[in-house]
Amino acid sequence: GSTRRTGRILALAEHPDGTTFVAAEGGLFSVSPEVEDLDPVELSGEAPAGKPVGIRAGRNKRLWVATDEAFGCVDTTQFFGRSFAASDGLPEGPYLGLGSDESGALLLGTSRGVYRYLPDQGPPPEFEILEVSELPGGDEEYLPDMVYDLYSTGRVRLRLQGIAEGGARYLYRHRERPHWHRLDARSPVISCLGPGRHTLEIVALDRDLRRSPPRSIRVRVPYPFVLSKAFLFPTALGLALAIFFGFVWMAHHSRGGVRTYARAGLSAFLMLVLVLQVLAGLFAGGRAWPFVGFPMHSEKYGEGSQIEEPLLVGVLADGSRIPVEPRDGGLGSRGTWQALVPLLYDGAGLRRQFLDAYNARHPERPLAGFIVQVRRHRLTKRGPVAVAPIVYRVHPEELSGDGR
Amino acid sequence: MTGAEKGYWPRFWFAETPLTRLAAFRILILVVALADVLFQSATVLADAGALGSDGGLSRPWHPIFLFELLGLEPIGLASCQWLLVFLIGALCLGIFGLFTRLACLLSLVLFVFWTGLAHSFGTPAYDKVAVCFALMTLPLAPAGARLSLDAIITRFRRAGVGADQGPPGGSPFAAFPLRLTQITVCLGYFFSATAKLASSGVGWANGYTLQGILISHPGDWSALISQNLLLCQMLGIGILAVQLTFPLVLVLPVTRWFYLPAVLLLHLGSWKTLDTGTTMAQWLTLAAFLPLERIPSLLLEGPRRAFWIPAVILSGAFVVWILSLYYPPWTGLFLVPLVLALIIAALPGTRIALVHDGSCGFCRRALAVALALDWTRRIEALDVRDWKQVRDRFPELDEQACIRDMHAVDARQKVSAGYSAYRSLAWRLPLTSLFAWILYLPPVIKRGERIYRRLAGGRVTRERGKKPRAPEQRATGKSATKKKKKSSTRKAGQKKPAAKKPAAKKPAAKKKPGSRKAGRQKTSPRKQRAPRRPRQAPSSSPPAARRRSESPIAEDRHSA
Repeated sequence: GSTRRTGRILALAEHPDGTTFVAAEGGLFSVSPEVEDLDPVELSGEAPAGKPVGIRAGRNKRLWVATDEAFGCVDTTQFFGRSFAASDGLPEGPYLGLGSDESGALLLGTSRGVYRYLPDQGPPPEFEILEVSELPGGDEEYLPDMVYDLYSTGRVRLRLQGIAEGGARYLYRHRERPHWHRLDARSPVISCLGPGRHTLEIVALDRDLRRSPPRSIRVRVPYPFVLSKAFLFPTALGLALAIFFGFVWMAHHSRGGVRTYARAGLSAFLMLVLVLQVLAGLFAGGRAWPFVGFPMHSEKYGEGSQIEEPLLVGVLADGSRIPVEPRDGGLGSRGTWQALVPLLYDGAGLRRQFLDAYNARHPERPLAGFIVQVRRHRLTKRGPVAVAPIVYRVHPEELSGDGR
Repeated sequence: MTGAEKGYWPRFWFAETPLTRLAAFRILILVVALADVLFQSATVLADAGALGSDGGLSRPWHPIFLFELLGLEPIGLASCQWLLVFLIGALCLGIFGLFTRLACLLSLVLFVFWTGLAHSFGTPAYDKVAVCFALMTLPLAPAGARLSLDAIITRFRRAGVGADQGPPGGSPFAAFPLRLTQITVCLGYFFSATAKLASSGVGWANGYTLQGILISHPGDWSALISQNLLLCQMLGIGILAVQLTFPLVLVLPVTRWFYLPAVLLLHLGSWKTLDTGTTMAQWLTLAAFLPLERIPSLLLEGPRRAFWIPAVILSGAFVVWILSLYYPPWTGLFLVPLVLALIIAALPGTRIALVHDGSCGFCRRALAVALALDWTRRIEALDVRDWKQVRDRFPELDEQACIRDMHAVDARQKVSAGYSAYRSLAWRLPLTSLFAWILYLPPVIKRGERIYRRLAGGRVTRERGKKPRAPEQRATGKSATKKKKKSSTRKAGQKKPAAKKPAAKKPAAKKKPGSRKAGRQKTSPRKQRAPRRPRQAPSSSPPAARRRSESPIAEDRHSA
């Protein structure tokens, strides 16, 4: 990420969650009442390219963007998007601006006139997972309750069939993580899965970024052969015996007594532990506890890097906001995504359950709702600068005025 | 020393190390483990309780590699609660030193499993790695040879058969637990630095990295430090340098003066900036680098007491303060004996000499227990069989009275005997001083004296079945003193010759005039001669060597 100048400001759009987007000569920016600085928005995926000429806030975490050469929709949590094509009825550019009418329809200004588009028409997207392939046992039909064993490379290919306005696009995420990743519609491959069990959720998107109900697939990635039981146990045993007999031979050679042999045994144990510790340190990772690598805080930042921190904010009945710890509502971890993800995706029932649990614990200060958001900072020479937070979820939705 | 023992490896791992240091380290590690288990218990039990609930508020299970290898699955709430009970029990047994090796082994297994459960539900932490490896070595080492109930019981038993010489000062098997902990700590810091360099290069210390790390965490000082890019840059360079070069403490012990405070500041800084918690489990293992057994002497007798006393007090107060943030106040009661020990050692006139009958099994056992509990080394033990030494020190004492009852002489030369002597002793032992006032209550005095008389009067000597005669039955004639003199000059290890059959009566030897020493009475005929004293328990060392002045701490030639 980097800072950039706005240039001339062309349009503003205030999103119901409080974020204001700015379309300017320098690109798209965001700002909110809590911060002083505008933050550039980096679009990704099939988001409209070009210089923005008009923006309009949409429902359900969407932002409609018109640039001089494209028109489309952008998700306001991760800023991926989709652009309309001529086959969608999009007139030729260049485009001059974007507005809306009272019915919620979008008005796209072109050199030939104004075109009207009403979003969210037609059925929502749907899709099926037909087949799971690149498995050790060959391709298999998809079954929702099945756990598929993959190769240790952590890669799986899916065969999907979807129906969506403007053609289906797909996203996937790990069930315990908040962020979605693109899945190539022509070649839907999920890769780089680490050893262990994974539950992946997949959704289909239409051109209005409406989502289908999610479908889950459970996979299991084995450890590489060098970390498998079949290799580790005999190797470790062989290594231990070799070290042990080495020390015993030295003890025998030195013609020592019982103590010398006892030291030989202990020396073998110590040498083995040291070898494992060094190996664990070289191949960093924390899940080999107590033989762990130490990769914490090894990431590097530079000027302009963006730092994100998930937060849970409670909303009181009078509208004021207070910080809330997830564990106060029964969520087992501190304010990390692992604790907050269920509040994002696990249904309204769980969100109500969390509120009830919190209010039972704090009857003197009951919450009317909560907001899951990401607090952000940009690193600069003058210190970290707060920029507009990203709101992931508001519960209940009436609090934000942004309903689904 | 054999050729192999002269090598670097045996000198590094198996140098003669004071057993007290290992014992103090054992207690510290087990207390740290216990504190951590209690701290984690709410989380682990909550995860266990949520297991299997329908879509409830629970965390996903991502087993650690060890659990995957062994095929271990999460356990339910009831099993978790029993696990916690056994773990706490094993840790407490290890702390108090009962069945020490077994307790340490059980603590290790259960602690690894308990922590593995916590890591499998959440994110693995790194602050308990050194504790775990320390626990791995304790069952293999003589960790219970000192500061333990096992040691007291062993001394008690050995004193009963007259074999107690006090435990050895050091052992070559006392070094390796400390060494392994030191190396684990060094590897932890070293690989932290190498991971940063491997992942980000030296650019990790550009200042922005630390700025970004700090701002990601809501610590008390995060915002303040992250505003200053230059400060972040300097701290980043310092962190890398200290972590990368920390292993120098193994080869240059003098560098510990710098590195130990440096990493301690690093952990405290991360507590205040990254909100990591105190990571006490990590930095308390730095005690593996310290000669713990020297701390009492540094405080009480060392030339730089003016520095060490406030340093230790402040350090202890800091640890207590941190504990008070997370644990209920009553846990501080465990520190009371330590505080009492310091008070006893600091007060003038707390030294006491105990004159006991070394031939009496009861006295030896009682003395062995007292010496084992004498953390501050206030007790000096004198054997009445070496009467010359006792008389030179305390001419006012009567030998027969000392044989009959244990005598105590305090620093003000006040003499107490029997029950009163034990009562005087109770004030000087940290574990009993708090309750010594009970011994002054009249009902307790009566009962105590009665019990004492029964025990002292029924003492059984080494010669089974023979009870010592009452003092008024013992002759105080020349022959008695002569025989006594003979026995006291017997060399160590020599057994008393077997009783001979009565020889034919010999004519009395003519004595030279003036040969009789002044004050001695003429010996009476044989039939009036006092009976032979009961055979004394053979001792492997001369009575004079029983004095408490022996230092239980061997000189640490190779500091671990």
